[in-house]
Amino acid sequence: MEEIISIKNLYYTYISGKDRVDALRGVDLGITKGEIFGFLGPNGAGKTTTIKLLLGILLPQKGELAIFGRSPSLPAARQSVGYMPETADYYRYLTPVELLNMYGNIFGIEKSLLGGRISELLELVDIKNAAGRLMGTFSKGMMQKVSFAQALINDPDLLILDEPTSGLDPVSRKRMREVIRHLREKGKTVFFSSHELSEVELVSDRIGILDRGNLLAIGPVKDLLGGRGEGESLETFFLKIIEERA
Amino acid sequence: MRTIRAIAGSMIRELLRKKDFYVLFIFILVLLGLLSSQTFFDLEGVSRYVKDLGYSLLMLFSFIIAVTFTAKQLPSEIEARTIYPLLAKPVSRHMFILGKYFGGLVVSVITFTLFFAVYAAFYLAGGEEGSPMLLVQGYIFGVFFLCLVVALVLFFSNFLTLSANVTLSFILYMIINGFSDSFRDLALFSKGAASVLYGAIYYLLPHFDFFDLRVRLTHAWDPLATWVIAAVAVYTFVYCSILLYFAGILFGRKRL
Amino acid sequence: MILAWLVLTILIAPKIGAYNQAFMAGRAERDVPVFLRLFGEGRNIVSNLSVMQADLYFHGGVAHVDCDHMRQTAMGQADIEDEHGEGEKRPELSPFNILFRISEQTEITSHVHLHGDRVKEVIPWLYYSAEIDPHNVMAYTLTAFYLADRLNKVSEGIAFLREGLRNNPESWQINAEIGRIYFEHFRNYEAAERYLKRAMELQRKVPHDKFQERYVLSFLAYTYQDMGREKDALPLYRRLEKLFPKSKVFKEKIMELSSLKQNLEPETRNRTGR
Repeated sequence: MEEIISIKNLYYTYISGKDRVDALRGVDLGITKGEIFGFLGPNGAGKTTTIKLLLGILLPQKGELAIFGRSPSLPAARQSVGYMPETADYYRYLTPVELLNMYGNIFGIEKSLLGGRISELLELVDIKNAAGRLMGTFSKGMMQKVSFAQALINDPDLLILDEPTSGLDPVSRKRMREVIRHLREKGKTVFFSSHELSEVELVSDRIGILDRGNLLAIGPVKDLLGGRGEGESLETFFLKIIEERA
Repeated sequence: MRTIRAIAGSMIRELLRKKDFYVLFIFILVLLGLLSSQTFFDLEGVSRYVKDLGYSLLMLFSFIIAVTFTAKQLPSEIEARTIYPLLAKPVSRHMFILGKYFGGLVVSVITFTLFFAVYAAFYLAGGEEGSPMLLVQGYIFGVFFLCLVVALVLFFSNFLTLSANVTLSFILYMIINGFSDSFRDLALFSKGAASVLYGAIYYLLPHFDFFDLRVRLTHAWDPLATWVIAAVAVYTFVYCSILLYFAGILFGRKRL
Repeated sequence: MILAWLVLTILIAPKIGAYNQAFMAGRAERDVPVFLRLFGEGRNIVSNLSVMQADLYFHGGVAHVDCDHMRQTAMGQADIEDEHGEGEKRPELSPFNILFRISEQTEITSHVHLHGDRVKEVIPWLYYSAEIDPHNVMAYTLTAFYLADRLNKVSEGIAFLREGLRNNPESWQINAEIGRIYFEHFRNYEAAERYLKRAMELQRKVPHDKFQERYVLSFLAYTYQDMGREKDALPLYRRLEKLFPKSKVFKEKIMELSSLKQNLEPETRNRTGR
């Protein structure tokens, strides 16, 4: 199977105030085409740092990292990547249509196709009725929907989602799960981090648990829970593994 | 190119949807209208003070828009976290800086052009015969001026906060417009190491004073020679290129 | 608390200052807009800057001379059409010294004075100078000079000076300027004498230099002379000669009037039978 994300012995350290933070300590991870991978971990585990490295926003200090077999720091490597950040207060003076137009132009999507794509996405995230409104007037949930739409503008082969369901109502969460499953059917790869363990359990093919820069567990949810005995939930497993480490 | 166009396009929309620009435009229009309609002791055709104040306001307001608009670009992208989805797209950091530069420049030039149109109307309708050639030179120099201002502010925004950037830009504008001649004279009239030092300072300073045609336009002096315009254009291009190069390097190293 | 007190003082001070000035000194306080009052004494600075701006305009926007020169030209003490010296000469620039060469071209170094009708361009700055600070005497005298002597608006010049006099009744300069205009433009010797004598009285009460004294005395002396009152003119020329012993003009005037007096005296004696 084609490996879309390849991380080998990845390290990353930064200085926060006077403290040195070892965000990643030798992480190894490979994600194949068509896989939905859930990335779990408590606050400060190193999830966002990993995502920033995958997007080329940060550069690895040690180890190897590739998406589609190329360094993510190359803009061309990100041509087929979609990214939805945990929170983003999108340009308040633009409408969702204008935002998607701007991003579509960056990807070089042809004008004749872009209009239709934008309309399709706005319908998908159920925000078409607010398409012409300035985003400065949007609620957090609406902003999340726009954020999801912009991540899909280039019909990406790799979708990276950082806490995608935060701020969404249950109906919108369900809809997002359906979209993610639909993307898998189309052979797309999804890498997403979340605190919502039930969400991860519902859609992921495999999960990885990260704590203080170390990847503690990786594998399909069933396999991981199977090794721990019958009836154990992902939440119990997650808490146990983190506490064991502590 | 398409990336630069896309980033710049969103900035133009921001300008059009914000009130600052309209307020300043109406202010300049009303003020010049009021000044022109004022008569002094029934003297006819008194126009230089209108031209003078008009040009000063035109440059100041264009400077204010250019500085405040450009200075907030980087901090607001980082604060609103919109920089992450943008840099996650096939956009290099240098492209991002160039996009912000051209966006800031286009916004400033649009503003300047509209202000200048108002000024030109008053200038040509003024009592004295104005020189259209000088007016064209005034416009060209105004655009050069904004090229330099936007590059400088963008460079500063890599390591200064928004308020510090705006303050420093204004201080530089005041100092250079007020004391650039003094630095030049110090370099020319001093000797030895002092001359080299003052000369170096003079060469490092962004020469906003080169672009100031206020006196020339107000008092109907002769237009500048073509070689001077070419020299100022080259100066602007070189200075902006150096600033943008370093802005790109600094932004490339910035931990986001 | 201290900050609040400071803010309050800054806001109230101009009003109190204006009121006190009007009440204590018996001066008429002109109706100055509130925003200008908020400037307080800073108003004077803005007003003076406005006069300096007028000077810049007179020199085609180029700052090469100070206000003294303008005052002197206005008072007739220097030739208006003359050109000033260029000051210290700059060293020759090498062709490689490109920034200095650009600066040399963009900065205007030529020197001109406004001529004829174009002098009107200085008026707005002087007018606003007086508007901002009604006690800026120079703004009134300069405006009147340009209006009366250069722009053929003598009545407007006099009217503006009268306004200045209402705001500055103790100003010898304004009295002297009104007197000069009555003398030079209207040949109204009675009015000229009245204002110039008042100017002389007021000038005695304040520090002044000999050039300023010359200005008032000479116009008063000319006025007397033109009125045929050589007897009154002669002592003034003698005072002027004392102030400027090297001046040939005053010596000649004294000789001229003394001889006239001697010629006139026997004739007068014969007529009165003395």
